[in-house]
Amino acid sequence: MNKRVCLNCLLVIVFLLSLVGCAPGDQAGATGNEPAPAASSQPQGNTPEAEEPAKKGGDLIIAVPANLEPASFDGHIDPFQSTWLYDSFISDPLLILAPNGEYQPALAERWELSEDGKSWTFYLRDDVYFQDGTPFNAEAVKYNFERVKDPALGSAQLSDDLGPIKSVEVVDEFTVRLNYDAPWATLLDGLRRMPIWSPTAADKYDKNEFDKHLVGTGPFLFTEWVANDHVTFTRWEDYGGWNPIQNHEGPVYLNSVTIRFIGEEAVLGGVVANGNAHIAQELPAAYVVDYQDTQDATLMTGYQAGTGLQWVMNTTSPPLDQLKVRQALLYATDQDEINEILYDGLYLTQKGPLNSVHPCYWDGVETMYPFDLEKAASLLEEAGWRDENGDGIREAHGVPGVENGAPLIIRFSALHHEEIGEALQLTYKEIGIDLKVEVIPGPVQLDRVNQRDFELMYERQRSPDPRILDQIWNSKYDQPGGWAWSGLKIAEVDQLLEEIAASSDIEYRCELAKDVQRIVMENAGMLPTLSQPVYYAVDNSVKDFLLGAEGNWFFLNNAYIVD
Amino acid sequence: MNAVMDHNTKFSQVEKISRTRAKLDQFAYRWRLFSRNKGAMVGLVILIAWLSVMIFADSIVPYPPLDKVTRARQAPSAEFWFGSDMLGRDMFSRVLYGSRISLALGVISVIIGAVPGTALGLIAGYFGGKVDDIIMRVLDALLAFPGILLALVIIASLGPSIQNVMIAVGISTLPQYARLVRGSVLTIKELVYIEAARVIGCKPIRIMLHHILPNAISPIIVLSTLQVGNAILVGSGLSFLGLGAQPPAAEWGLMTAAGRELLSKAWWISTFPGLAILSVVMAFNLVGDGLRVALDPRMKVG
Repeated sequence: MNKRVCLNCLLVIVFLLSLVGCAPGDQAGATGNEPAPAASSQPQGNTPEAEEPAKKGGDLIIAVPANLEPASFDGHIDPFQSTWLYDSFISDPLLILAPNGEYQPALAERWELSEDGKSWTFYLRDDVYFQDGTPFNAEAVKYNFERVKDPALGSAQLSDDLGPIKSVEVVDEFTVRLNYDAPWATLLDGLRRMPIWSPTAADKYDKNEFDKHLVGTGPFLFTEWVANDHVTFTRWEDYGGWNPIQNHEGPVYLNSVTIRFIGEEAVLGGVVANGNAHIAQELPAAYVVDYQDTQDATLMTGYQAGTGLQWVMNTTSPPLDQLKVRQALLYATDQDEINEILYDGLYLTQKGPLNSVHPCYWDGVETMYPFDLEKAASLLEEAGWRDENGDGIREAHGVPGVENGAPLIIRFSALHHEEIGEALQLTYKEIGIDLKVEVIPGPVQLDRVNQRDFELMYERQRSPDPRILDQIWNSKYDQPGGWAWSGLKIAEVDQLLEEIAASSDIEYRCELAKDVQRIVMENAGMLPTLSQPVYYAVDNSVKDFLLGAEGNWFFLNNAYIVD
Repeated sequence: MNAVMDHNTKFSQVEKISRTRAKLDQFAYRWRLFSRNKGAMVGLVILIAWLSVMIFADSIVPYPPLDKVTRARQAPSAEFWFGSDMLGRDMFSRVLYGSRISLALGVISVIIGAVPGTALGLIAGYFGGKVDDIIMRVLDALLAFPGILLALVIIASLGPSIQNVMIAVGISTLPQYARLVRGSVLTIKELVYIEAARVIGCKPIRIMLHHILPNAISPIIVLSTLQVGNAILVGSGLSFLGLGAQPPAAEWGLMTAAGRELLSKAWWISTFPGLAILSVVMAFNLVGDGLRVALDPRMKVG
């Protein structure tokens, strides 16, 4: 064989190797960064009493999917749950959402809402200071509120969550008051995620630089961030245990926490079993079984209230501007089958705009569109889509706004979970729909939405608050930068959502939310698919790792590692 | 007058027959050279096998390649030789069907690269001077990018689809043909018979197509054969990255990508399409290598 042949053989081999994904590279990275689990956790000797166990500690490694890596670690700017979670290591918020679903005081000792519901008063702890020594007081909190609300900062979400604050008032050194023109019910849900940064540190850096030098009041110092690889937090020795979750005084037990961002599912699936991390978050469904019957690790399941994996329908242009076509898609979707085929039944089916673990979930959606291919086919007939040329795909015949003979092609645009689209593709083909599955990156998604250049677009929002319905279905957010993409404009829905935003009575808000869910589904505004439980594989050497009320949130205040 | 014409016609007929006989002899001679190369023969057999699979795919696949026919992620069995993929489609049928896309991709992208590449090389080599400089510098600029990178850039601007992969792979190999042909042309155009053709007033286009090209064709054939394999590899690579064939197409690169997340659970989803790519690419390389030897005018039958 000559050189050329050999070169090509080599290319083939390299290609085949690439099948193993980036596994070899990732694993090399793993062993590179790895302080062998629990190796440095046990300082020798010095146990004061014989019965006292060795000092608790450890260097915790958590592997997470690469898509959880924040673009900016500054939660005042970045709009993602994972950013706020990592921020909570560096800075305690004013209050937390405890695992039992209650708001509990953290840096604020207590709070009260005025009679008219328009002003919130927070009474702050007086014994807190930031990691750089700056005292924590009402001025510092005011600084943080004003920073988030400053349009120049470009807050992508938190500013909306805090609502239209009229003024921030420093009542005394440890009392701060927020004033609104109208009641703003969802403030606490924003506050539990909002990190409180040291004003000294935030002033020192440009807003684009500050996310590499975050300084808060939390249990860990922000030590190192290597993009596309990992972020490391180390224990702050002067931490006062100000988080109500913490069961002991002083600093936390863990010496450090490293979050590793893993791009390949296959690597993430094996990372705990092969000892390269202590915890794997969002364990892929195919690997769940590996951790079900093992002595070495525990499988934990978190549920994330929110929307589930949903595909918003573009109701402004053909073919999804026809209600019957949209409803046909809903009738033709067999979630149980998809769940069984793709995820061994480990996901949750989701039939409406809120998923079934949401506190305001309305179960009426479950009977609205039972799987029925015949019904779906007849709806398509009625809408003017018939297959007359016999190629198996329907064409338009007298459909308004569509040239006669144009095939029924619907794009399914996914950021991830594209396999759901591939499964739908098989079923939809049976009723003559050509579903095109495409995987697009986030920026392309937003660009397409702004151009209204999509049919089915992936959108997921996560929050136990019914206000997410407002963001997605209130037509006033149908604008660049908004999250209402379907183009539906239903006065009744808009009005219900305004009421939800204004009311502070959670039961009443849920009642309203149920009507919204019904109307959205009657108008088939989106295609709900499955809802993804958050699986954690936790090595048994990790103790007291505590999941939050939301599946993607956890607390490390009490965690430690034993040999 | 008539007699002369008759004579001429007769003469040219005789000439034609003897030319054909010479060509046949030449072919038999080359085939003997080729068939002595064991590797090349193995490659040829594999290629013929894949070609027949490609042509008769419809009648030999046991199941429709795009339909769910069994439970998802079934291991290979007597019923499903290559197992089933993550949606319950038969892998064996999909791999067989995949030959259609991959072989078509290889051949079409080579045509897209070879035809304009050869034309540009002929023009640049024959005319020389400024024309040569302009054409070759532009192509040098293309050569500065690694082939796969150039293909990625082209895909990025055209959008992901299998047609665009053919175009991208074709364009990225175009400079190689131009360089190869230009080199041959530079040698050939100095030969006496070209001078003779020019002297009796042949137009440049005739000289290029009838006198130069036939004598420069051997290396083009060898390069094309090798490039088909290469194009299949690059095309599968692009599909693997999600830039080529789109689901549910039965394309080998796409199939290997689909199975990669499950490699430790369901190895067969990635492995069989991977082996298919391996066999086709190897076959084209072996055949190309055999052709290189057989078509080399310096080779003598010992």
